[in-house]
Amino acid sequence: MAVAEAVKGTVTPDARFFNEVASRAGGENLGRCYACGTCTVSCPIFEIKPEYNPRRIIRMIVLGMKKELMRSEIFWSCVNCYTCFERCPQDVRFTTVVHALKNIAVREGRARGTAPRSPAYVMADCFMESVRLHGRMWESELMVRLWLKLRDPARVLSFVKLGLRMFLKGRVEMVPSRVKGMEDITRIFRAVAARAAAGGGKP
Amino acid sequence: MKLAYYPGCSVHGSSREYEMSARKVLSRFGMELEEIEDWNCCGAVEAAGVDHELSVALPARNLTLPKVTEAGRIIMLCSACQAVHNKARSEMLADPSLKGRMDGLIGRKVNTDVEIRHLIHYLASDMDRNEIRKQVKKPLTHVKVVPYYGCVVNRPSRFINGDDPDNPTSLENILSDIGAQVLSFSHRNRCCGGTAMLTEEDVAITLGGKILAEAREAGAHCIATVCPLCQVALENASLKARDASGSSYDLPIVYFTQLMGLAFGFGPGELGLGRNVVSTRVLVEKVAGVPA
Repeated sequence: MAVAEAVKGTVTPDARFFNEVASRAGGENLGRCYACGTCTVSCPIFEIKPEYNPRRIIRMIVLGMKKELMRSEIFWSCVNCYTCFERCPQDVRFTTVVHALKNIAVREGRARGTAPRSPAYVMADCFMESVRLHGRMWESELMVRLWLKLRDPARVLSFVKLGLRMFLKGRVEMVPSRVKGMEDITRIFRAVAARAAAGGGKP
Repeated sequence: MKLAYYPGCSVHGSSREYEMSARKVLSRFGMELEEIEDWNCCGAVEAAGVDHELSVALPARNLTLPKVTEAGRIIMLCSACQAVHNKARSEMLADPSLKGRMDGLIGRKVNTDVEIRHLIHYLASDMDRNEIRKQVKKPLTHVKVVPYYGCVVNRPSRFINGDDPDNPTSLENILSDIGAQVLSFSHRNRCCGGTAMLTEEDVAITLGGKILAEAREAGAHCIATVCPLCQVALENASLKARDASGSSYDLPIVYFTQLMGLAFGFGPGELGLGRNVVSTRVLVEKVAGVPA
């Protein structure tokens, strides 16, 4: 949903939102922001998609616009280039602030039995499912899972051009490679799921 | 000498030619990459979006493997794997309670003393440049190349002991050591859009297209990269991005190790240059001295 659409109507600020983000791993320095906009002008996504505006996202957190920000899902557009993180004069670490926002969205979604709709979340979910099963990410499986979940034939067609060439050049792994110590991987995923279900623990 | 080595999922899958060429190059220095037994996926940027603790636990498990502790240093080819491991390591060093939770969760001690090193940093900073120059058999005199670092080989510098994040020099140094003409390239630290390739492809192609456009404008014969995700994303953009006149780009996107290998006298097949999607034939001919 577009940000403008998400903020339509009366805003009901959530006074706890700022602390909720700032108390999470990666969000600790949020309060240092003095709104200079270095993050925004450094952002390669903002450059082509002005709707994704890091400074505006920080303001929305400060103003408690949780409902609007979460509804827009705009923060899933971050590509993790870490340019804003590197350049921020106040060390706000916006890239990891985005991680905190994503973690909140995923956890609250799971508590309600839903999930973020953004393709970037679907991608992360399919990716982690592959890692949960094999301990390693199997690229071919990831792509098939993603396509099945997004149900968008245009994406598959668009990928044929590259995928076919890569296949012919032997760059497509046909069988997954698997970790021997899968009990470690299973334990890690179970612990994370259990903590999320309990809704507690320092994130 | 054996170097403990973490390949990561992409190098193991879609980007074997990166490892092939790295092995050839290192063999000239009497060095061998030794894959760490039973490594797991680092979680890339995806784990961080799902759950912070998961994004630390996955790389942390790799830091409990016996070979890693024995070696004291892991070499990585993938920028993202390297950044993810360095981030987790730094976070555990800064927060002993996080480290303690990881020790407990994995059931073994996580070794945060291990150095996590990208191959470009190892070759450009930990080795003597003269050693590289000495191995050059066919200097790439006729090859014009733009150095492309991408994002996370040097960012965030708070976690990574690499180059200067804004003015890196390692690729330029290596490429000039092997005799290539290194062109100035303003997009060298800009994002290729690889992360968005499967989710917001228009964004990825626009970002990749900007890199290809500047490289062509500069008169480059190829783009040298250090990351498997950048390589694939730029090859995808090569197939789909269009310049102002509507034509696509045909600049080879090569790993810096493939260029080093050519200069060291290895054949294109040994370096996996036939596996690149954008043809590298003209480039290989330039190195061989055939006018193209």
